[in-house]
Amino acid sequence: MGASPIFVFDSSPLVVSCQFTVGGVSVAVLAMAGAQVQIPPAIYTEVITRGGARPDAVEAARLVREGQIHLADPTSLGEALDDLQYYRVGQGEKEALTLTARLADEAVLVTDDFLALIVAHRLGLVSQLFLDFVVGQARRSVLRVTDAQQIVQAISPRYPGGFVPHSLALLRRLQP
Amino acid sequence: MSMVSIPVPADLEHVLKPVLERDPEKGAEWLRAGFEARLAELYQQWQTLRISTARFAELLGVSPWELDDLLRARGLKVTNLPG
Repeated sequence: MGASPIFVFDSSPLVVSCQFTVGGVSVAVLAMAGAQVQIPPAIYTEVITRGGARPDAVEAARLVREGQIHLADPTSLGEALDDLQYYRVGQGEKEALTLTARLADEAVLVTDDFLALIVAHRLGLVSQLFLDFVVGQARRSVLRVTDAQQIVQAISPRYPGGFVPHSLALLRRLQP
Repeated sequence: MSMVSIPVPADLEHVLKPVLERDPEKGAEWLRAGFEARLAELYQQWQTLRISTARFAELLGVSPWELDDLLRARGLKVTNLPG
């Protein structure tokens, strides 16, 4: 994989990142800066079309309109991966997994759905939690470690058990 | 109370319609109980990884945002991550 992968977002990290803010700015804006983020059409429908006029859905729509999130071309997506028939995943997850597979070595699936993570692993796809995306942005120096720490703290109510403390420990190791 | 229109299977309509006409609050209570039972059933399936988050929302007929709102309002986990 190259230095600048394409991050395919599932609906779960979009919901998290558009719901929470740091200093009045959405976590999505802060965390996605400098990253290539793509979503398939079904994620657009789930999150933006069905979100309507909700402020968090409007924020997601704004990010697409302004080019921070790129809507993948439906024709390049093709048919859903045949192997997905064995799992009860939603249409958005099917397309996100398929898009990640089509982009092959260039892509990382970002999802907070545990079943989607397992399926991605079984398909040999690179996948990560949104927390790991944030840590990765700090590791790639496109996000300051202090900003990444604030983001992790802001979204901490979403995650169980050790996920947040572990993320903060990973970020501390990046500090000089 | 707001008014919504939803399609109801014929066999259920046969039972529900007289109740709604006779006692609208009782009918609304039945509908709410049905929704809560469906939510609880799907929540269990989601927590045990039989369905994904998006499938959970699809089967409940809500958007991912609405699913999140519903879970938070009931004090339930908003993720199927372990822990």
